[in-house]
Amino acid sequence: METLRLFELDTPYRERMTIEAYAFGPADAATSVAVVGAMRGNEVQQTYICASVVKHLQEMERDGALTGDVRVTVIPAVNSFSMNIAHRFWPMDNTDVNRMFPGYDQGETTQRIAAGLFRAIEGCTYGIQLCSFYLPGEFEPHVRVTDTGAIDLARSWELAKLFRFPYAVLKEPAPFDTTTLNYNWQVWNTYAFSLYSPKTESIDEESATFVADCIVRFLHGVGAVRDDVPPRCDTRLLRESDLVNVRTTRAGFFKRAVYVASKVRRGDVLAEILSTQDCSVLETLASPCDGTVFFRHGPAMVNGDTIAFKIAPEK
Amino acid sequence: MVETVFSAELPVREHLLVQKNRIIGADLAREAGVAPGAPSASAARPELLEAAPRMAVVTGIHGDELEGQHVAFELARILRAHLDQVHGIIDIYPAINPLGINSIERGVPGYDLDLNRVFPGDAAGSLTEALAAAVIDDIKGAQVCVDIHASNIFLREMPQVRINEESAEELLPLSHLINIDFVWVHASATVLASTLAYSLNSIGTKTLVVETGVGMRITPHETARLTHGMLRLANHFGIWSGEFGRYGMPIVSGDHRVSFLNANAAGVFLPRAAHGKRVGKGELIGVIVDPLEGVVREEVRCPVNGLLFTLREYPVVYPGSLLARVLGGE
Repeated sequence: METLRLFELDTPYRERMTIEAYAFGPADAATSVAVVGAMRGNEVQQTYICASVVKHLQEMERDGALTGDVRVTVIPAVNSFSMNIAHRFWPMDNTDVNRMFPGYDQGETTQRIAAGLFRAIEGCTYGIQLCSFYLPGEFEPHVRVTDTGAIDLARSWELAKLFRFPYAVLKEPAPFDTTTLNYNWQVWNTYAFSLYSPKTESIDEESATFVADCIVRFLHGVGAVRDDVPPRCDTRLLRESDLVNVRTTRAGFFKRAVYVASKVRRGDVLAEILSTQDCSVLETLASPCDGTVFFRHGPAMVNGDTIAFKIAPEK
Repeated sequence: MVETVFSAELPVREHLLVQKNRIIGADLAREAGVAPGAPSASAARPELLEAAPRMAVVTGIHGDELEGQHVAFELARILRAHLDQVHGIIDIYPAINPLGINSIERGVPGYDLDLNRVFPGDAAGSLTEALAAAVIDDIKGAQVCVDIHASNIFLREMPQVRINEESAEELLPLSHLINIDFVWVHASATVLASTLAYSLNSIGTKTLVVETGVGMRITPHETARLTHGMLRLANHFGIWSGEFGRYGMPIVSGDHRVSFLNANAAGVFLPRAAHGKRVGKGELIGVIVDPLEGVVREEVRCPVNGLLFTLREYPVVYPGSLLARVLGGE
């Protein structure tokens, strides 16, 4: 394993910020994979998953289980500066590094960070980013492919199956996506994948292990790792528009009746919204279709007009 | 009349309310059958309200930008006192992000996102998307809309209009009316397609974006000028026949004439040049100092002759922090 310093930044009143990477395999390999963890300071689970992958790769390197045909670079924490002070975005101006790609090395601070990272990982064959979602809640672990139009989508779908997640979701890009790492990777001809895990700010050992195994499966699929990890399931391909939203009309305590990954039938109760005054039931949320709970609102209270669940409908 | 544009229930005895002050001219209110103080929905002849010329003044999308609050107040105060000189409708939306303004938060509290990146929104989407969709639905069809922003807390700006080059032809003549110092016609960026202004312009509602002052503060002499700019714009569309002030013609600039000065050192920025004044090539704009060692880390000098229209207000800087923008050069 090589330890690489991809970017350094002088800072006022604190030590220099560095983006550190851990690389395996020859630097001149024809095929390369980059795995990027926390771009935001609260992405603890994402950092943990990446660090677990580094640990696996170190063990495999020691045991001769890496093929040596592929360069694998893992960056567990890009935004260590925010992470160390429990701040989601950049400490000074609250900007999001993942809205600054491809970056600009003469621009604003987070543009410089994005540029420093991107310079090191642009042009890799495959890019994997561990992401968190802006809606507070839990997801079925899944891989997302953004349809940028810049890269062979059919090939991306096939590659997405190598992770063996239960779901792969195709996302139509919104305007803000054009400044994300995933989008810009694709513009620079990298097959890019965003991985979502149920947790963000806390570590969920079971799902972290599952996602880390998915990454190792992918590395096996592209020829970096000799041995496969037994697949858990086949991957179902979904478009984001296939997911059925269940919205609240009322606000209050969010009393959940189902878990993420629960199978539900149409009409099954998903949650009740209780009055914060007397716990009376203000609204009952029921599943609009047969399917699987894909997303569940996380906090104990919920606002009105909020997406509380996303259901992956049965085929 | 205060009317609700969007409402969503919050968990404990409260609603997130986006409200507007709908100011209907006296003649129109009489003809449409809207009693004083009654909501426009109670009009006996709502079709007259639908057909009437309408102007929208929007502010408070970012919770840390307060300059527009003064404009909203002054404008409402003046119009309410002179309803006989209003000939149509002026809708004033002081707080598109009321929770953000209330809690000194730029984005929407609890969502960690910039509301001006979710337009045009989606009525069936998340709360913020539904809010954005409701705001668009309410404003669309107006003759003109002005979206007033302040700068953030880091930079002080001269009053300016920013126009996407895609809509420059239509908006440039209007921008000359609102009493700002200059107009920045900037290059199109896909990410800006999710702003309120872009969304409204794309459906035919002409919308100007104003940036002025500094975040979390009000600069009264600039907001007073801007208030008169709103009246002047309303006059242009025949909605206001009362008095208003004129403050000359703005300078118009494209991207190529704006120089950015970013910090290359970390430390504390001490300005040496005056904001809003002309500066010469090589002139000292400020210094970045190291309070621990007592040394100057960087002297920041102006690369061109021009107008110092942006100057850093917040002293602590990282490498990359924007220190100044100068309008000038080739």
